[in-house]
Amino acid sequence: MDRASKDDAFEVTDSTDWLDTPMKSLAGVDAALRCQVCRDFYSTPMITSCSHTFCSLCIRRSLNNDGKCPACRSPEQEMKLRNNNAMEDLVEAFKRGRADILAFARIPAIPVAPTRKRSLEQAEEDVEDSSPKRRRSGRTKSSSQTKSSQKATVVADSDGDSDYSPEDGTVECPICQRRVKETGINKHIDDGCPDELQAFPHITKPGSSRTGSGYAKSSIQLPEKAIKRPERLPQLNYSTTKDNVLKKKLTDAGLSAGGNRQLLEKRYKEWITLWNANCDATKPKSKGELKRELEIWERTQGGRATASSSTQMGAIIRDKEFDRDAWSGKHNDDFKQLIANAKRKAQAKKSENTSSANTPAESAGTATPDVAPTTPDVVIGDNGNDDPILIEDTPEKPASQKRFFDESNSDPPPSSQYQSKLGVLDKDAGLASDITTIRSVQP
Amino acid sequence: MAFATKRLGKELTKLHGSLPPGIELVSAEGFEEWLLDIKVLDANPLYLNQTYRLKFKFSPSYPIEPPEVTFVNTKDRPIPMHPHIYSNGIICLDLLGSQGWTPIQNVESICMSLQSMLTGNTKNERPEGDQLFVANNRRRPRDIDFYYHDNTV
Ligand SMILES: [Zn+2]
Ligand SMILES: [Zn+2]
Ligand SMILES: [Zn+2]
Repeated sequence: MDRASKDDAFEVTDSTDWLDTPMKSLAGVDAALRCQVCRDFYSTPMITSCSHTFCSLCIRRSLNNDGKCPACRSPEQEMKLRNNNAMEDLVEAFKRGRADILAFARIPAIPVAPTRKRSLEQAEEDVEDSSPKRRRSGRTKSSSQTKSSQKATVVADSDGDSDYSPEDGTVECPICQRRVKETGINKHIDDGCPDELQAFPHITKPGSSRTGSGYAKSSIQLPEKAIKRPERLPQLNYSTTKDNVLKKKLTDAGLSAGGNRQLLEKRYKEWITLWNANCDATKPKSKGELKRELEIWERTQGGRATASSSTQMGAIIRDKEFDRDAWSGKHNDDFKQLIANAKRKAQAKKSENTSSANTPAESAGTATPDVAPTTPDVVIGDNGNDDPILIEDTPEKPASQKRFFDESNSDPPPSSQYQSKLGVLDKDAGLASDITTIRSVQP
Repeated sequence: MAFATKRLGKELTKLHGSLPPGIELVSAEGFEEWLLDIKVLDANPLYLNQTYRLKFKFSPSYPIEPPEVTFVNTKDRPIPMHPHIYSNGIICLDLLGSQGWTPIQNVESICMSLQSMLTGNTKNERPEGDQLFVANNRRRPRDIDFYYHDNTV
């Protein structure tokens, strides 16, 4: 899980949150800022050549699976994906304001309610003029005023409003063309147009920059081009890649080379996906963090992989960051938490609680079979190294210490031994290919 | 949190909140298996006054991979009669196969597709070879290579 979403991991926000407020129309905005694959706000949004947008990780996983756009089924290739920067800015801006706006929208509507959260000055302005435009810029102001780092308040306006001159106490700065409170204009100019956009003299239109409107970040950001992005990994042609080559690729990346061929391929594919998605990110994660994500992925794939190779997959991590007991219950706990939240929200919505025969949270005792640990003989392939990933990681430890899964556990050989039992189940082990195809009826 | 878990949590929130007519959440006790009931909304005599139970099983690769969806037979929940639904509850629907699936589909949209699949049906019959298939099949639905010749049925 990426760092940004860690805090709200269990906060299941949804576009329907707006429907029981007077701001119903924001449900559409909220929904439009979400990836259709993961249902979350876009994380590193990428646009396809068919002009659909998904999180980098989501679209890469999808393409890896079937090579088609999830929205329109057009064939697509990973190399054609491009960052959708405008969407990323939009999402970040919306996420920052969402909780506040939602809380505001949920305040029972009484006539004076809008003035509560604002300064006296703005309240007065509202009395004079309460057109939607005015209100919006007022809101922008009040939110940017909360940023203490802001010296003079810059009112961001949208592109469509460029010819609009509101009588809201702002004037256009003759130097940077942004709207500044009239009372602060002199100081603004004296200070040399101080705000986060100062480092971008070529950007004159608020809202068109990567730093976005209302994003009062006092530190100067490097221009994007200065970010040296890590290099993407090429996909392997697995049909022509020999076992030892694949194993070397894994060990070179600092990953486990343990497990059967199928597992190695899946692991390396997922690594490439994680890595390449990270290359798209504005703020790339460290290699250590990516390895942890691969680790989580490998754990949660257990249900699938154990069918054919439980002994390879059964290993569990022994690491201070991956407490074994915590992990074994983790997956289920996550879900319990989510269920509890879902129910809580549902109940909050229904003023009257109808009879609920299904009470998932109460029947939470069920164990998650696929993450059951068997052998705790494994060292996680992470040395706690949290360097930014653009800094080249030196190939750290010898492979033996970098293993996710200890090969010595692979006592019973892979799938073959279980073929008779698992043939019915296991497509991934390539066992289903010899089973006669079923044809459904033709009408 | 795992990818599938988080997405399912979001779907569940929505299912608890509001559902389209004729769809009801029965249980969702983990990320592996959910049960939902569906009803056919129009007056199709084949399905009149009946409720059908669907079992969803999710892999950790959901929604990149489709869930496994079958009808289950209980005391008051029969398996609906349809030329693409075997009497053991296995459904032959392209949407649920790896070829027809897309990750933007979800539990709700699957339920609605199945509703409309039933709504549009007029044939009171099982797929050809139903008995043989039911007697012999031990594979999971997603591993069966159905052919989708005609999705209008
Ligand atoms: Zn996504
Ligand atoms: Zn598309
Ligand atoms: Zn200026």
